[in-house]
Amino acid sequence: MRETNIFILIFLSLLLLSCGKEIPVIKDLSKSNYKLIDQDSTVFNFPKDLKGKNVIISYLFTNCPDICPLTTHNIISIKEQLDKEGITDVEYVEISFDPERDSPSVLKNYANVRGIKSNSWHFLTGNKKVIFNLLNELNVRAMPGDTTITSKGDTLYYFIHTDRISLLDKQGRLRKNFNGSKVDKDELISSLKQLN
Amino acid sequence: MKKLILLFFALLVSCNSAGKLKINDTWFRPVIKGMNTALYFTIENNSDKQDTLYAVSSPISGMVHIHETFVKDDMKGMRQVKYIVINPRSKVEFKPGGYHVMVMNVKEDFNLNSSAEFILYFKQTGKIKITTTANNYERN
Ligand SMILES: [Cu+2]
Repeated sequence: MRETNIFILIFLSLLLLSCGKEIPVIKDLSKSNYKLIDQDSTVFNFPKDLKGKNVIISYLFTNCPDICPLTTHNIISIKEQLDKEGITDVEYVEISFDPERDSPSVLKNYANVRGIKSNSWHFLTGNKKVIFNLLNELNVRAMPGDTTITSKGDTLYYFIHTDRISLLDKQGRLRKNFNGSKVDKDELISSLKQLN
Repeated sequence: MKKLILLFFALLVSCNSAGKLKINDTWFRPVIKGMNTALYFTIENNSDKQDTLYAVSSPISGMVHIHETFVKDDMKGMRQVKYIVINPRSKVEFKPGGYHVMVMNVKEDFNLNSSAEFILYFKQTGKIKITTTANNYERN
């Protein structure tokens, strides 16, 4: 009897492995709570306010004119594709790692100039410490790099940062990471579908 | 007559420089006043001499630098580049994720399709002025 049980167990495990396209959980953030603020200056509780939806997360600082817009544009075209397929239960989040300069209105401008108007698109900023605790949990790094002093004596600095898009599931669990500026859009979309 | 000959040579020189270095595929990202944008283009050197791009300026900004995006582990950053050599019979592409002209603290809003002027400075060819429009091309 005991042996039969073991056989059944092995059989079930093998069955699980064979259909095992299940995307593993990288990190469970469902118990976390980060009080942030969105581009409309509304308080946003991360990840609570996203519950029940799959989430595509990216990271930016708006003074970045090269890599960050590329990531944003990748997500714009991913969203267009998802909308076309009728997949609308997705939230889009862009977290600023330069909260001191990226105020809600600066983020709003960044969205407007790119024609981003959707209610499901949240640009998040907030208290620097809170932001970096969240980034830490998502394993995203950002640090000021090269510094330039302008002719007027202003200090200009750019971030060296993780180039990433993350996928969060409906339970607030981090499931998969992608390269942000060079994301394979089809791969991201098919991973998103597997989360459903 | 002397004047005519001078004019002829002047024309010849200007023809030469314009013909041998071509700036194609120009565009920059839409941007809000006070923020940064990036200018992109392709430099095509059809001559037998190398040339060097060493500066860019624009009436829309007080600070314009040549930049490159670099990769460090899984991180990306950008830094200033002093100059860029364009070898004979070759092309250098400025594109997202690579070389870009960093145009900082712009003086006004530039929405989609609005245009701006930039001046590229080359060691051999001298100045090349371009006028181009704000766009959201996605090329990586
Ligand atoms: Cu730059």
